[in-house]
Amino acid sequence: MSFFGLGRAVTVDLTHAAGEAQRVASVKSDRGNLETLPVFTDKETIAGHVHLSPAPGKQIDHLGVKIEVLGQTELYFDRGDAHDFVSLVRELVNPGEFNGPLSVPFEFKNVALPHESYRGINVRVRYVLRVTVSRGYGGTVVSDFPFLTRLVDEPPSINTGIKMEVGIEDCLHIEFEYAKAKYSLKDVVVGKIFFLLVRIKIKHMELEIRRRESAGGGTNTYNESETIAKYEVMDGAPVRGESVPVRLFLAPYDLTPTYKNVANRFSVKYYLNLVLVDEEDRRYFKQQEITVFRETL
Amino acid sequence: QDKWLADAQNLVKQYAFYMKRALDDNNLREALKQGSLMLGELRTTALSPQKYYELYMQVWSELHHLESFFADPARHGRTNLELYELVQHAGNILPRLYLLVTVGSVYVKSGEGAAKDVLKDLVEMAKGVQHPIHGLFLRAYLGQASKTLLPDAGSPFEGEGGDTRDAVDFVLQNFTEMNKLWVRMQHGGPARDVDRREKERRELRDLVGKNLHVLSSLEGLDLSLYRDVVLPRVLEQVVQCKDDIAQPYLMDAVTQVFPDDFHLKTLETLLGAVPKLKPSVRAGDVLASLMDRLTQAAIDAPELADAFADADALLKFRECVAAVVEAQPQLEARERLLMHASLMSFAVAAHKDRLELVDGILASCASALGAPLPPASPRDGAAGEAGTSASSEPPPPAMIVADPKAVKQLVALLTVPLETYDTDDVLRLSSYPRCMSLLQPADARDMAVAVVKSVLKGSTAVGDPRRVETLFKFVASLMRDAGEEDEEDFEEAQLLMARLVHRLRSDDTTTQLAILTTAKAQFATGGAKRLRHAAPPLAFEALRLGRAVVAETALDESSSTKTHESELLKQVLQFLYQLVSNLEQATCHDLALRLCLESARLADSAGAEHAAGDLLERAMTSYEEEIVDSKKQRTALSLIVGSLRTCENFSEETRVELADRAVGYAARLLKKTDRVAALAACAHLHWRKSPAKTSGEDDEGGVGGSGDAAGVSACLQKALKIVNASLQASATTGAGAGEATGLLVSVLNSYLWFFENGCEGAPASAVAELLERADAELSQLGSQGACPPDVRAHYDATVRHIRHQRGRGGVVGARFRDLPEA
Repeated sequence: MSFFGLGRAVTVDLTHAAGEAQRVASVKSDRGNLETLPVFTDKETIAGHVHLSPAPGKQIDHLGVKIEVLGQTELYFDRGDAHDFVSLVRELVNPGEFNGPLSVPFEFKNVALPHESYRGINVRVRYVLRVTVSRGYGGTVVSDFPFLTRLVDEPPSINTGIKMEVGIEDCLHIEFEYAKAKYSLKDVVVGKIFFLLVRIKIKHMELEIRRRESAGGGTNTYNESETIAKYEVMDGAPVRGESVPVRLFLAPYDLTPTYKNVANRFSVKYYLNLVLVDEEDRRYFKQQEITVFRETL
Repeated sequence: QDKWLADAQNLVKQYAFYMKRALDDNNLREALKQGSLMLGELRTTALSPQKYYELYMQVWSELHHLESFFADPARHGRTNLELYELVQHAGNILPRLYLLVTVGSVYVKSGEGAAKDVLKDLVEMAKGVQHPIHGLFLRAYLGQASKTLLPDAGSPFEGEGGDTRDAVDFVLQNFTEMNKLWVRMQHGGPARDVDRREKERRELRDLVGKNLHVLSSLEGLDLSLYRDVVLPRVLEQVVQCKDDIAQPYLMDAVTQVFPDDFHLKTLETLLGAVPKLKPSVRAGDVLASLMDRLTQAAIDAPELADAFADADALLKFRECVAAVVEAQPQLEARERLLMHASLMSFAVAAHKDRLELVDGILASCASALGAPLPPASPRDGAAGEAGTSASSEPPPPAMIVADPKAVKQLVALLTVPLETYDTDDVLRLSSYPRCMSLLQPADARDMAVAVVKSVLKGSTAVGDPRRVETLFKFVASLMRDAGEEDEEDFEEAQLLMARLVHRLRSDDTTTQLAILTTAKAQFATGGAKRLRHAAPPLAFEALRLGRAVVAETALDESSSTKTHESELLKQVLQFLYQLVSNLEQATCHDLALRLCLESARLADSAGAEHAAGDLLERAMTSYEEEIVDSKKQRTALSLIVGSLRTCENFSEETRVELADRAVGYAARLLKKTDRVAALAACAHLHWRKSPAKTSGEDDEGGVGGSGDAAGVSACLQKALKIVNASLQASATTGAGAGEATGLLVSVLNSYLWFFENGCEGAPASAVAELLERADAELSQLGSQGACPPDVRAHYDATVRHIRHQRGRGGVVGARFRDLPEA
């Protein structure tokens, strides 16, 4: 951040207390490239040092240095409406001045991080550690250090399979079953598709994972669906009585857990969509919601 | 097609190149990506199976690179399990599964993965490919890759990797799925392509059959496993697929691939499946192939016979054949026959000693084709025709076998027993004629000829009247007029039949008579034109029999047998008599006449004067009434005379009467030459050379004889009169002098003979006169240069003879010395 072409008066850096041992994860940044960010989970202590280094030979006067933990939901269509659901502040340095590098420890104990970081189509949840060096005359320096929050879900106590018979009368009857309705992120979808009646010429069948993001509320609701994965599970036309196995590894896909309701602002749901494509490229599909949860960080 | 293939192959080449480059860099991710792209080319649906196969082979060879890369953990740094999961991330199923199989085989080979689990997983996942051609080749690849990995007994993967049972399960499952895909190729698509599709399917069938081959080569596959698992499941699949191509192919494959003793022990199960095949499938071919296989086994290893018997194989086959026939009313005759032909070969190979089985097969064959039952019940009597009786249900019309292939089958079927058993046994096959009745007349005739030939070739004679009757049933078609028949063939067949008569022989005279009677009755049904051929052999056999009886009588002393034998002889004569009548009815008068004469001789030799007389009389009547052609008359007459002369037991009265009649005939012959010769012959009827007492005396030759000199003289005179007449005639007309002289010389010879034998009917004076006349005539002719050389030669020979005789001693020499020297 540079103001008035003067360059940065103070360079702010931040190191975490755990150092090398700090959990990290790679995510796509705004610009589309991968960045590696530290990962925290609920009730963790976020601690470390803030390193302030003034431009060489400059003395810095300031009105205080503070660090904040911010958790925000942002709706893209409504940029201004960032909603902070976490906001903790620590004063690091009292107003004064310094003229050499300065390292200040900080610590937030047992921070409540209620939501996971998320980057969706219309909405995102982001967390930052924001260091503010307050100065007069617009010389305030604000540095954001984003981090990720990941929450481990309780493994579901009940996880029955999905079994369903669907069809178009006198045309196509299938029965499909997935072993589970709830999957961890590294899970495998195992299932089977039974063809009870096939009167259409099926070309192939694929299993899609669809993510449905619903943001906003009331009249201002924005729903977006995107297909995360397309996985061909059958080639050619089956005949009646045939059964086709399904085994889909979730690991390679960029999934998040299911978010039922994040701060009353949005929800993210996942669906398994079974699509049959016939020779005229007509698509027959049935989608089925699944719950995705995080088993480990 | 070619272009598509070329495009695809180029792409494969290109991806394979990138893939190999990635492999060289040990870049797993890139290699998998390029590999997937390469395999993706196999997703095409544009290629025919043939072309697809080419593409597949190309990809297959490239996959080797990938496989060896997977097999080297140092190069990719992953565990096999990780790899196994990793390749499943591929989005398209076909590349994914190829990769999975490739990794899977490495995974098993490394010993990390239990063979049974990995293979089971692979074969299960492969279900995702439902496109027939894609699926078939994928599974073929799986089969290929897994061949060395099966947890078979004795393989390194046994134990933790499962046992033979798991191996079998795996292969069976792959087989089942492949078969389903293969069958499915048949369906869908426009109907006009059916032929092409069938052709394509046939090209692919070995992919499916390969699985069975793998099964059969499993070390650990023992009988119980085969019986309890493999066979039932294969058969289940075969039956269920209801496919015209798959069913026969697979049945055949099962038959060929698994060992004989397995088949034997599981025959019931295997055969149980046959009637369940589709009606359009040629169950016959299937069965036949199985039976032929076992037949071969039986031939190769005769010691298996017991095993066959234990397994009751034949019975099972028969039941099965019956079931097939039952289940498929539309079955072609050819099929039915094929099955029975195989059954027959099998029966002969495995149970040669059990004739009743062979007969049973013939019976069931006949029934299978709806041959009418032998006319035991009058209603079914009309042979070969559909029952028209309005009562009860009419029997289905017999399938007359007309299709050349079917004919061949049936002929083959019928030939087997002929070649295997000797005549006697063949004739015990009571259903044989029923089967023959299925043939068209011409074919039936050929078959009958074969039967006859085989009887003729055989070493044993048919010596039982009932058997004879059967034999005639066998060859019934030769005894009936039916359909067109070539004259030449007919003749040939009848000649064979005639020869056949000589094979009907029993040492017992009574039986022999019965046999002949039977045979004659049978021939009689065939009408005159057949009897004509059959009569001579029958007659000769009867005569032979008669002579045998006579000989026996001569030997036998006891009176009881004598009466029996004379009774027998009477019957023989009666038989002959009938035969004569038959022949006459058949307007074969020449034959009848000859037979009559032969019979007369027989009767005479047996001392049955009356019978002999009757017969001769009959012959003469026949001569008078029926023989009109002069040449035939001449021959017939000489036969009559000859026969008459040999008869020795006539009373004088009868003899004279008969002789006179003969003379009368002789005088009425048309030609002078014939008349002269006949009369000369008749002269002999009145003269009988005294029987030679010892051989020594016989050497002297023509010492003397006895008889009616007057009769002799009368005949000779008559002959001479004719000669005189012709000589005169030639003198007036100037023609025929040579011929007349010839006659003169021959009469001279006749005289000379009687003279030589001391008959007063030919006194020396007469001979001398004749000699003189002959000489005169000849020299006259000689002066004209018109003397026929043969006459001259004859005369010279005569003179030489006289000279020779004169030189001899004894009575004859003395007699000759009375003659003037020529």
